[in-house]
Amino acid sequence: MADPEPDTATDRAGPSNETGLSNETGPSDRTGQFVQLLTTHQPQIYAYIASALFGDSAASDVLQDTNLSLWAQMDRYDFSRPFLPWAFGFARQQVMAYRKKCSRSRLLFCDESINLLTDHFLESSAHSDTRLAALEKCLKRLSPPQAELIHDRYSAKTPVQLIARRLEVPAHSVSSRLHRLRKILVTCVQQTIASEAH
Amino acid sequence: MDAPMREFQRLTRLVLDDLATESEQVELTRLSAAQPELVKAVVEELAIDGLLKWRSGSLSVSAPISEVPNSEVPSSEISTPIPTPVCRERVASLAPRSIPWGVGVLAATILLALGYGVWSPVGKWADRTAVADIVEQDGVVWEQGASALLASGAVRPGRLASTRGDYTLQFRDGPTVRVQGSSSLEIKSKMLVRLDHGTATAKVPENSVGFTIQSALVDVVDQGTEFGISVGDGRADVVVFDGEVDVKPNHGKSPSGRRLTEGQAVGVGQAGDLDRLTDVRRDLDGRWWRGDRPGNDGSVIKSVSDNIGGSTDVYMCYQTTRHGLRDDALAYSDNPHHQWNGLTQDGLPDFLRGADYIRTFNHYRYMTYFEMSVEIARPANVYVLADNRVPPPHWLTEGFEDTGVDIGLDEGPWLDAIPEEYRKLDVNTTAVGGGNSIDNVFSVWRRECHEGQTIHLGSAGEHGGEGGQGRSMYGVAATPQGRDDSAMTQGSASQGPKRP
Repeated sequence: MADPEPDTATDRAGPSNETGLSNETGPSDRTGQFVQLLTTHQPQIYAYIASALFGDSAASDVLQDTNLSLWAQMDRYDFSRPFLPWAFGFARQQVMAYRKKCSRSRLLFCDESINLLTDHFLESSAHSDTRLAALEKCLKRLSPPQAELIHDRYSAKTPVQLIARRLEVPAHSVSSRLHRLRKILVTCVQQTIASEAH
Repeated sequence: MDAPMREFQRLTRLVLDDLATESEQVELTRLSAAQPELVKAVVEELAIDGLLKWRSGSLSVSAPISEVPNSEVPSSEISTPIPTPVCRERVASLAPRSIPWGVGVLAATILLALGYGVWSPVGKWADRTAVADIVEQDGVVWEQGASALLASGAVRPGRLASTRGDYTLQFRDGPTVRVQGSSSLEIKSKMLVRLDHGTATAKVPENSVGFTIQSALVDVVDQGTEFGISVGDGRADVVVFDGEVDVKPNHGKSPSGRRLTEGQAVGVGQAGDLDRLTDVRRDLDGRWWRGDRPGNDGSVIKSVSDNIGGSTDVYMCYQTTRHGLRDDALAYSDNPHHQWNGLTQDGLPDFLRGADYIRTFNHYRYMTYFEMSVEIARPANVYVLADNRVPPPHWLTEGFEDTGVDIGLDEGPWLDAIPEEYRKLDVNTTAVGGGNSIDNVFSVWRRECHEGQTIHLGSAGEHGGEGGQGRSMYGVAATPQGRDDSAMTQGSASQGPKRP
């Protein structure tokens, strides 16, 4: 697997890939740019944590811990390097720390699965910035019933059972539809990113 | 795609959609440990799910700093480290850190100014006194004076009152309490709730044995279980769905109360006497207790009763779930393992899938004088699932038509009543989905019923049967007429093994 540990090496001089900021820039600029990086990448970091904590509702708490951790290490961030892989390292540390506190019965994925999942996020981090924008475009391409189901489940946070009751179908049928929709969105996002890369 | 990968994907989506049963979660864990690389098959779906949650604001967003009442942030508590290693005590994990407070506030302020509300240590400090979180709600209208409710959705000791809607409280030490309909309750601590009126279902993990729901008439003390309590109209009803509880009436002659076990339900009146509660309704998929009285839940089954009684020790209840029959649905009120399944991987036949289902008592399978009565709310097909190991009883052959379709019962572990150290010797486990781990085969019998009709079902069959085999209790399902006529034809033509 790729090295998931945070790179806490001291600053390296040079232009930034993401911000154009040199490490020799003044403290206030660094702070502003760092906050911008941190806030810009919140969706991707959250998506990683939520995936790694699959089945647990603590993702926002662990994101908070990760943010604190990243903030505390801001002076060690090398602005010449991509932010997201660096941040994933801290996120992984917080995920593993959280898992240690949990009873085993709450952990659906084994550590090796988490490592493989982390590898995937690291490998695809180059395109992560455009993923949310691509998702927005793909959501607009859904049919009205598909969009309504996504809205009900995610925006309105309606339990699947209630959606099923409203539609008068078994809950597992709704779950299958949601699964298909997520797969459609996965494919659409990949195609959108690929087409925009050319 | 191979079978483990398909199963891994199926279980993953069930967890994503909050539908996975405990056994399905265990199976997912087992698959992950056995083949960690399976995660690659689901990682993209997980990532999309995460982004959808993010963009929809499905996070537990803390209140903006300016909205946190000062009273919720006792200054004495801000500087006090909170030594709790418990998994969900996230606030505690922040306190002892060496991160300067000012740095956190600065960063939080910057993030909030940029429009991101997720990271707010100050909001989290406001939750310092919280013992639970509201993790799910549907149409809840809170009454004024809900003093337990914090702006972030966290809940601290105090009053919670609602005029309508349902919500789920996740206590940070583990118990989950689902509150349904108009209700008023007081959160006294992380282990004690007083329910003044309304309906609640509690799921309590082993580490929180002793979790108690009090009411004016009865206190219910958990002994590692899932139970429901409904309070109102001068009466309190208590149902045990899993495990055991101690029921302690606050009036009358039995102050020490009694212990109830899985599948038992009682009503407690003003005098403190315990009456049998026969007919209990579960919500869709059988997750929670529906407090509304039988007949009001939309099921085609209006009421269920039997001729068992006359003893103070009989407290068994029937549990009816609208649309509750599906693969892996629990068959009996008094058994946590036995599950219905199709005989093949296609699962249950279409005409049965999604039928309203009555969980009967397997314990009653040997009672020759047993009779249960089922009242039908509207024109329906009623199905009896009868064990093939014994000849069909006369009441079944005379009143019902054999569809020729068979389904299976996956009985799961046989040795669940022995000490834990020996349970590993049991090679029998509950499998997931149709066609797996079928232990016994059942015939599906059908009868058309009209609105308001009451039908009477007898015993499970003659003792011993052919060759002296045992048998299991029958199950009862019902569907509205018209829903399943075409599916019935298709099902008969295509659904796996049929008897000649």
